[in-house]
Amino acid sequence: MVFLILIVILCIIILGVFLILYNSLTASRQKVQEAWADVDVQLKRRHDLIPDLVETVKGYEKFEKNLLEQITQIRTKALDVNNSIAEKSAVEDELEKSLHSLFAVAENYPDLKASENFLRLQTELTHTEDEIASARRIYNANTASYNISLNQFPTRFIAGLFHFESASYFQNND
Amino acid sequence: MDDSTERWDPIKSIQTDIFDESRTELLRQVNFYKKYPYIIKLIFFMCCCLVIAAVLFVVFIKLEIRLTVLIIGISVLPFVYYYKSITSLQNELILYFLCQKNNWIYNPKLDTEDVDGFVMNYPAIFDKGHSSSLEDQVWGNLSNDHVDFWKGLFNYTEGYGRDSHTYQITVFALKLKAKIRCPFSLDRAGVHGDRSDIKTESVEFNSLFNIKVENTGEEQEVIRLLSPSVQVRLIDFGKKYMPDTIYFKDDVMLIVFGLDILKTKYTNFIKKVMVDERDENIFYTALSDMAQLPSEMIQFID
Repeated sequence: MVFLILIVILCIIILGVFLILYNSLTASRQKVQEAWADVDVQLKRRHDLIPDLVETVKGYEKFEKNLLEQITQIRTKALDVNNSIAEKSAVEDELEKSLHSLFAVAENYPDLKASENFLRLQTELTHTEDEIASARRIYNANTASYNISLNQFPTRFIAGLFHFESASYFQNND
Repeated sequence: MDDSTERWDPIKSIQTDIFDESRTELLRQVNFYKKYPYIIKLIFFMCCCLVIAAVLFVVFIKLEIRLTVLIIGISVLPFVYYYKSITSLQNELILYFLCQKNNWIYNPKLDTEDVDGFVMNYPAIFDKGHSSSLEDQVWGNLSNDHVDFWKGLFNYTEGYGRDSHTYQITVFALKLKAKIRCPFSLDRAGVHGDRSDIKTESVEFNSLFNIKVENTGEEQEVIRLLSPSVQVRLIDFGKKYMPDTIYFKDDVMLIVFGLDILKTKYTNFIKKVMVDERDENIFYTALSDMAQLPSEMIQFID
């Protein structure tokens, strides 16, 4: 009888630990998703600013058309990528580099540099870059914490049982 | 220092420089020690001799244990008192030279008059204990970031008689360029319990800070202010300086530290009566780091 009671208590304890670990993994995964949502918001903001920027610069006839076309193409590619974070990371890095090239080339066009619209867009894009960098840092920190939990004992058993998958980092390839 | 200097004050709006007397006294003390630098060493030497004499006394004249502890304890007091007064003088002098260099206002005196204003405007921070006072106040402006600031040591006592204990916290106030509609505070996790009204998407931020929103229904507004870049700055600041509380109300940000974070590290009057520039830089760096926070947040305040 005592033995039976002990078995029941042990089962209850194991179930309790199981539930705590499952909830903790779920909360961790949720935090990763929330952080990704934040990164996504900032990336979308950048995508939305680019058409205005391209239109503003197009008016300057001598400006390198190839660069503008490249930015437009990469932006379209970035909007289409929805599958993997690694792929998205690569495309967004390419977009960021192209924008930096555009701003570097714009230094040779004093009229463009003085344009209020261009300055406003440049400021907003710079601010968005800061937000993306910060959101990326938060996302990667949450991802690291989640991935570590997935691989630790005994949460890895629960992770395996309920098909918790590890999250990808949003890398900066500089 | 120019007597007509005016600087921002968190309760009075403007603080005018009128504290010549206390600074004159400060400079008089320092000039005395500069003229007779051996005096500090001599006094410390005499204090050490007193302790040694007391120890020898109790060793050779075998007294009961309580009397022994009392005699040794009393003999150590002058050493401790003098050490504290020299350290305090060092801290004050560093602040004095820094303020002089940057055209800030400095008041080293103990002030009990302005405390009521702070208690009334910021009760969450200053409504503590009794017999409160402010000292080592600085009013200035960081020209690089165009941020007005105030700094002070807030002393208060809790309990009475034998159960009384005096606490000292360092408070920095920074002026924001726009008003925040919803007062809230970020308490360092574990300092004032672990209750948090809301959590952000950052695990690291939530492990460092508990967010307390003063008025219910304003949680969304607070989350909007705590953008990723603001959170990252707060995380870095929190890890580096470990503030007890960061409090936001109207156009003021208050940062509270449990201890005086500006303790001297390199200046040592016992060795040489001279302020080490590195200690000035520590203060200036800490202030600059604090000024980054309102600069980052301003774009999210309507």
